[in-house]
Amino acid sequence: MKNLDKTNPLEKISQSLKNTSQMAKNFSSLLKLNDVVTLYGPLGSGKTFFVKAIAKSFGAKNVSSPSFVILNEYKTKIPIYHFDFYRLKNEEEIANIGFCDFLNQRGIFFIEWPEMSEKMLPKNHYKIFFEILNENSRKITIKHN
Amino acid sequence: MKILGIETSCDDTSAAIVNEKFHIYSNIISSQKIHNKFGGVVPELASREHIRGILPIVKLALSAAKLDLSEIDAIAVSVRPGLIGSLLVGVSFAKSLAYCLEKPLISVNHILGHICANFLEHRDIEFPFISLIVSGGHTELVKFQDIDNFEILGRTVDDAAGEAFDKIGKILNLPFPGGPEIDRIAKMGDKNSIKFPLPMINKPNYDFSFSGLKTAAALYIQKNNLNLNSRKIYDFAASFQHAIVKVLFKKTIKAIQENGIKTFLLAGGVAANSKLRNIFENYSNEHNLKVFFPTKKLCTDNAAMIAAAGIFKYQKKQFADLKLNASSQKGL
Repeated sequence: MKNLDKTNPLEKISQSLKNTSQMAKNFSSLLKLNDVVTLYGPLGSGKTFFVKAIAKSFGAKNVSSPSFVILNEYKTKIPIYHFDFYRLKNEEEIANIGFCDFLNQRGIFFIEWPEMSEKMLPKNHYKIFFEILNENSRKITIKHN
Repeated sequence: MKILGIETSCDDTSAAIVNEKFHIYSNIISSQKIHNKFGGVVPELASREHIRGILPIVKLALSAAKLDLSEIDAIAVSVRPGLIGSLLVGVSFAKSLAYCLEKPLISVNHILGHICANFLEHRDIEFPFISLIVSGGHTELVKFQDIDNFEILGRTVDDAAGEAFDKIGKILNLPFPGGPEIDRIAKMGDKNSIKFPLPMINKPNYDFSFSGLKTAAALYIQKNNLNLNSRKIYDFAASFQHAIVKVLFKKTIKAIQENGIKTFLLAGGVAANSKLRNIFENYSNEHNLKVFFPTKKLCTDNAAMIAAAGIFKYQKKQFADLKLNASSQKGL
């Protein structure tokens, strides 16, 4: 997964959950402290599953969807912040939960449904796009800009 | 003995006063009262809204109870899990109040609060029991020997059951929250018309999974062009709801049987689902199992349930000090 940049995105077709899980683990080896990873894609395309696989590889236990609580925190060696803005309605609501303050803490940050938070994100971050091809396969594209 | 309960773990700011007999003097929830009383919409979620809301809500709770702050014996507050910024407002407020009034402070787990909602309405609950807490944020199966001696038997490994309901509701353009709407339209459909996957139903553990079911349902909607104008939506809603209810029921009954338990408590927002209530009621009528669930208004987030949990802790003299902090850490 070297040489990942804007002009050189990584594109892969995953045929199974196991496949996606392995991709996530490979990707997690690139991650450093204070990295931000945004995840785009429709419902059921595998965003939470992807973060879960990464969080697990960092030693997190009982990883589940943060859609309801907006944020799940995992106190692993490098703290993991798993955001989900699915329920939020506008940029102001994201600001109101103190999102920018979180980004200044020590950790790695994952954001599902990040569209409305884009202006608040650091310039350099990973973007991962999920596309549903059929019941079991997903196209996963990783960019770094 | 009277306990002031404070709940700010998510969208709603709530304050309530409950006594040792679990009598509710008042139970004020922001989304209902502030909205009417102060006019204007109360935006969801922002912790700043909790800051604005907490004082008027507590005042309302006191005036509705016709009580003065000096008549309160302790303050119970929900400390986790939830949204950290929101929880902090309630915790800071409760700490300040406890300090000023020189009254004991009680730390309450939000999930335990949901379970304790049952004690507000039922006087004949006996330990040990198993409880299923099922809401937009939780799906947990817990065995209680006593109020402070419990074991989590199982939990969701991905989405909460209520989350699956709400997300599918949103795809169908049903009003939020989707759960009660799906429950409503499912009554007009045939639950056996579509066979959805029943995730983990035959696994030997007590864990749940709803992500795969959610995905299968979302794909079904897309493939069949389901929308609010088609009659098929009723069959879809009935079948989808049936799949969730069946998994929740099977796993819970398995836990009840394997642990030799005679009492079951349903709790959390999805405990308001009519099919889920029915299936447990029917089972209870045919088997030696006492089943309890709160009335619908106490299923969703409220401070009376926090105060109820506070009663148990007060009686056991389990008080918190002023170092108490909120946390988004999951679990009980």
